Amino acid sequence: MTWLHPQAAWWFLLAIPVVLLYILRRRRRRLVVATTLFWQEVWQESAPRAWWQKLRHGVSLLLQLLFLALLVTALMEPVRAGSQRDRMLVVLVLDHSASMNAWLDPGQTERGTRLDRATQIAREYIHALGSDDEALILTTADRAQVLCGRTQHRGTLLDALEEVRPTDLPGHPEAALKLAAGLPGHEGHRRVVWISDQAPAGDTAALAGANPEWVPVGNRHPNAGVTALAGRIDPSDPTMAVVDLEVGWFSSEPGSFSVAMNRDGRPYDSFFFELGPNQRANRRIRLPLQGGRLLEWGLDMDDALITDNHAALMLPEPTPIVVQLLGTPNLFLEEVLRAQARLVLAGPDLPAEQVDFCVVHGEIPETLPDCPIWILAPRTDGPDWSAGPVHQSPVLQAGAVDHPLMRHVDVASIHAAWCRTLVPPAGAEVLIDAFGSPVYAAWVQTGKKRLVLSLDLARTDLALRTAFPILVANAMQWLVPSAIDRPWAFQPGEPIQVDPREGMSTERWVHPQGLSISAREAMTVGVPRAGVYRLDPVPAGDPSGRCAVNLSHAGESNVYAESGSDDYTPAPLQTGLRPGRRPLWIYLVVAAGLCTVFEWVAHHRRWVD
Amino acid sequence: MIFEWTQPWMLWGALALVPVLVVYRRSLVDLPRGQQRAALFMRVAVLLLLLLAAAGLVLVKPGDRHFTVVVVDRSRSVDPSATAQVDTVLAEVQRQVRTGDRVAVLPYADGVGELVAADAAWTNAWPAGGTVGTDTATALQAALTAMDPSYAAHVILMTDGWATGDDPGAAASALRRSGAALDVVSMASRLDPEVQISEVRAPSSVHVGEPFRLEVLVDANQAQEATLSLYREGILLAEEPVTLEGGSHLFTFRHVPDEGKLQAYTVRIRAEQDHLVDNNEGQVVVATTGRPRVLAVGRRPRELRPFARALEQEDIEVEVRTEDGIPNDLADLQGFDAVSLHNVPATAMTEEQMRLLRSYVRDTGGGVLLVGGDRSYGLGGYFRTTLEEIMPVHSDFEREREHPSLGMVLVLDKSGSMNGLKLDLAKEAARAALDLLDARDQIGVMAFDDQTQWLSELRSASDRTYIRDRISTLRPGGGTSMGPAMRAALAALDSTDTRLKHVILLTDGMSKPDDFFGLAQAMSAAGITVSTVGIGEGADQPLLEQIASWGEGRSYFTVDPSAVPRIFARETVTATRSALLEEPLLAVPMPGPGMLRGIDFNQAPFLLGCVLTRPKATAEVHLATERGDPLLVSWRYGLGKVVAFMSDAESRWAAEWLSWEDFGAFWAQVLRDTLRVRAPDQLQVQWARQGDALRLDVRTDEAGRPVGDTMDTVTVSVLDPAMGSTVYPLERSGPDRYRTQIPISGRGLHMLRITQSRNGETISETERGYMAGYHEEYRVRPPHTEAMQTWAQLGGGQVVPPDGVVLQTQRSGARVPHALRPLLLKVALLLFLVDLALRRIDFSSYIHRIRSPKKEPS
Repeated sequence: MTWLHPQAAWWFLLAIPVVLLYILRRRRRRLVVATTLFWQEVWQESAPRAWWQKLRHGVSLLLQLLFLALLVTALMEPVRAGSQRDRMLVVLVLDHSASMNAWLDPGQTERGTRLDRATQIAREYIHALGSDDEALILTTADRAQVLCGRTQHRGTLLDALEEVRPTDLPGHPEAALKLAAGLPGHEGHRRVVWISDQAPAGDTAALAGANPEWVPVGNRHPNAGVTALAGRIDPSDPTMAVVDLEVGWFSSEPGSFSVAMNRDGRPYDSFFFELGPNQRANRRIRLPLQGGRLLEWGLDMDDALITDNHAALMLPEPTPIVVQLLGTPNLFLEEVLRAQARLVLAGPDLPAEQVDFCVVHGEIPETLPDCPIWILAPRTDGPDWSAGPVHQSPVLQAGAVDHPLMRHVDVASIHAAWCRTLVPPAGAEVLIDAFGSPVYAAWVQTGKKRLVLSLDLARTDLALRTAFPILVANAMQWLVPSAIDRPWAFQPGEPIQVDPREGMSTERWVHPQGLSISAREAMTVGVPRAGVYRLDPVPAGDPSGRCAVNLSHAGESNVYAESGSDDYTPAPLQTGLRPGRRPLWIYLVVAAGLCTVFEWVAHHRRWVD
Repeated sequence: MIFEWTQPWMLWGALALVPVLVVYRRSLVDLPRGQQRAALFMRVAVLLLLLLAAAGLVLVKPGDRHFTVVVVDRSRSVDPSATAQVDTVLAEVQRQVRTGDRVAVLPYADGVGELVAADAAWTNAWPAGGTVGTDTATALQAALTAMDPSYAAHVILMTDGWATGDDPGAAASALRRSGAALDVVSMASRLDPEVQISEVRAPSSVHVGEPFRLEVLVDANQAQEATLSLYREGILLAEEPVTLEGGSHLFTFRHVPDEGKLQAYTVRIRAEQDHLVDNNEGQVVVATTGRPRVLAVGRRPRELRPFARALEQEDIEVEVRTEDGIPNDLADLQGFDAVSLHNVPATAMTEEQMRLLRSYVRDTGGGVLLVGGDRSYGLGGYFRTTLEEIMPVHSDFEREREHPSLGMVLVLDKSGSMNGLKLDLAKEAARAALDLLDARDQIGVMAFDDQTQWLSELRSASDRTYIRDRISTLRPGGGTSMGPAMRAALAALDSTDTRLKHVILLTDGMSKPDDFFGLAQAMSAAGITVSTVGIGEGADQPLLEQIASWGEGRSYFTVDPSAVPRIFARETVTATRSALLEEPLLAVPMPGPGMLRGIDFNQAPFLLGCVLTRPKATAEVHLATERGDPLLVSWRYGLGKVVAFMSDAESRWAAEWLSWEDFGAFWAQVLRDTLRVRAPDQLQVQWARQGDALRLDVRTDEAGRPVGDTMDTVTVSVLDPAMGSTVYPLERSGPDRYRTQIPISGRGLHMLRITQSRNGETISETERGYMAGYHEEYRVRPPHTEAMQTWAQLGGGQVVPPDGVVLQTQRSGARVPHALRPLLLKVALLLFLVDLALRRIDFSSYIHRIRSPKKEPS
């Protein structure tokens, strides 16, 4: 037994006044009586009240001292020996991934979602905490988040639970388990309670370290949903888009449903799916890029999970790429650049900030423009490269054949009568070399992309080869990865990249239901809910300023495969905590209360004096 | 300010007041009433205070206490002297800390340590799990878990900005959402003299014998001399001294692999002044895909033996098949780097096979070599076929004036059974035949059922518009009677003066009996040749073969109506006898580099013939005859390359070439130039190391994927250095694009087998090796200020210098619970004492004494 506040023992000094008051002879009251017939009897009763006799019969005093002792002991807060080691830290890990939004019973939505049930279970755990137990709450979806730090205060814990928000994020329990396994600063027992519709899985070491106890929530109900959706430009026709739509049916029975497709809110197409148990199917859709940017798909089902019944894609706006051609004019170069779809040749007077990238041929300007630059056949050294040895009739060879800049470029067919090589900065990737010396190299210097090809177009047949337009297309793609090449839809939690621009720090992605997140933050952590977001304020360069975020996750849509039974029968929760284990001071205070009541009764009924 | 109860059920204890009150009513105590009431009040108050204490009355009010945790990166990449920066921060924090605030230090590296006091002893605290690794994300979260929520949380992260675990940006953002503030203090990276191999780059896949570059990026923080060595499987391949300045350096090795397998290349650097040895080695794995594989298809495999043998000697593997072995699916084709068709007529291929070949070249980058013969190009019916679309030459050609003129009658069955596709394709075939003739030729088109009808009488082929229009009027109906039609064709051709006369007879049924033998004999006597084409199972194949035999022509039978135009084209070109040039000719190389570099054509013997073609506009002619006819032409088609050789590689025309010493080199160079440029896998694999994981991006080939409900799945099976095998499914990230993250378990070779399956069947597979090098922690580099800025921004704070740390002082809004129990119990004790006093002291007598003057007793 140890004491948390031993200094409270000073209160035992109150025993002195208690004893003194007990000893104190109370002066008899002067009363006029009708007879003294019973005086003798009264006298006999009061006769033994000498001060030493009073102690002998001092039950009242004992009760008073007992009361005092109980309360002062309670103030000193006794704790059982080793109870510090026995203090339990309960780590409540609450899954709020997308599948937790599934209805407990799609027919009776008033019963709430799995997340509602999980939150309720967490409350029950908090109520069942022992008095000296601590708890902390983690939420987990695609990553772990500390909802409430370690505390004994239930109110704080319960308040924190109110902050749990549903998300459409995919579930990745590893981070939460790792965090729970390595919590600093706790010497006692630790219990990790995993409240989720999915058994904890992931890294074996983290599982072993956290040793989580799974409290399953949810039950099995069939669900259909869009499990994957992605699109890109048709490589054979840049005016067309190719979209892959994948749907899944998660049930032990076959099912059928139709998916309606809208374009900018107008019906565009519909698809009917008849699927077997736990089957997925996909459709490839080709459609022109023009004619509406927002593509939406909707399932005609009221099933367990609503989020995956809708999906959307934002088709890109094919914006032109502005290229400035500087240096020595070259007809082949101009024609090849003109032949590139979406590429616009700008005059040399256009300010650099309005140019997407710059092609410098031959003569190198004294100051290079502040934009990505492709330098061809440089006649002089540049700021971060210099000329290397010269070769007659060099044999050209591809260096980094896996590099995107060399995709489909056949170097073997290029003949050069003469070439100057270059010495790029360290870290540059050599794409073509001649006898080991770089001829074509790429690097990034202070955030600016540089691409230098030292071959002289007049002394090689490169410009006449099919490799040349491919080289140009690859270079364009590398120098200006345009919006058209970015994903057309994102998953919750996936970073949403936007071009850094002025005023971006104030932009926010706003969900149709009002949720908003700063565009800068979304570039790192994405957004938590599915839907079509819009930028606020709308940026000048992108009048629509929208992005589509879809659940598109078969694992989350498969709410049938998880725990629970077919029927909703909430089982009584066994928390396994120690609700009966209370601090000793409570018992002391209660005993003191009973003691004082008894003393009161004994005193007034004259059982004691 | 609100009140809370921790054990509200304890308030049921108020029932204890009942006996107190009842007993008071029946009290036997003779105290004055007022004093008794006061005692009752006191006792009830004591009881109530005890009840409130037992029920756990808590006062919750806003607090302004702060809990500052200094999260210190103790990983290997941080310079040991940076502890002084931590001391500075702690001193600054201690200077600003207020009463009630708390400060602690949380060390971390690959794991998180224990929270320790912010005093000088913090340097003894080390994280769990060693110092090789920097899991900043977990450390930030762990700091938050350790802090009592009744304090306003302030995290000061001290790091060099290089994290090897999860993204700390997300953790910083979560920290801010949890109400905590995050400031970042930059720590110094290692300052010891250091040389490291930062990166080793090489192509993931090369062919045996194909030289490749191996690039080594070396970083050094001091100028010094060093030695760079390249090893393959432990064998030293090259060693060179290098001079290092402070900064990055790029060195290159060139190597020619001589064995077909996965090969690990190791680069090591040795320098005198170097602190960490773990980062002096870099590795890369190159998949040497073995010898290129070529599929050679010809009518008779033995005729291809010289070609195959020559290529085998040049390290090219050749699989020879007959025309029946032309692949029917892309997966079969994908097994080869090039396909070589030797004198294969278009009629030996289905339309689907030709389309596959086109996809193979255009979409997957495969190579196709077309080698001539008397059944190829125009003579093989390539005209207007998919095959002609992909090849670099036109199969028709400008015939020379001395070639003989041709009179040709097309006799087409228009009986009722020809209705539909068959008749449409017969018309198309007739038009194709017309297009292959020139103005000196004459053509007539006749249709027959029970009756014979001239659609277009025999007339000059230059009158194309009329003839085309007439062909279009062909309508089906009636039975099948070939005899009268053949007689009419005989009569018409007999009266023309063309030097060559030919009849093509097309039918799909059984003709009424007639004297076909007599007719054929008569035609033969008149110098008219007859070829027959039977479509479908209903055609009288034996009769048609006999007529062709008697008429000295060729007989064709097909169940595929789409083959009819190819047959007609082939027949027409054959009949003109003009596509062949059968005379000794010399191959003359054309100027330019290209595929024939180094071959001495002055020593090349004669070729004995070739097929005449026309090069397409953008094609490249490498060899020509002395007369200028193209002999070897190539062009790029889509991602692949197609090469056409108009002579052959057999004994008919290339008999003398077979003994030419450069015969093997010639074909090897032509084929090497034609081979797929990219790795022959349908799966394009890219990876990037991200902390302790490898991000894998796989691009599958969409060419063979039917549009519909089929599902492709892609998995990667990883064999780690400890020989543990794990299979990871890849998520779809776009059409034909898949991705996943693979945890990297330790240093060494990770074998990755990537499999694409469709409907449960493996359709493509590839193997790659990833060599996990030294841990990122050993990479020496300056502090990552950009990352720290981002984290601070996401965490709602800023990057500050060690002596610029500012603790927050504003009210935090955190709720602070105050347990009222001690106060309540103390008050109860005091009231109890008063209660006892009221019982023992008769205050009424004192009051009475004060109110009335003292009197003597009587």
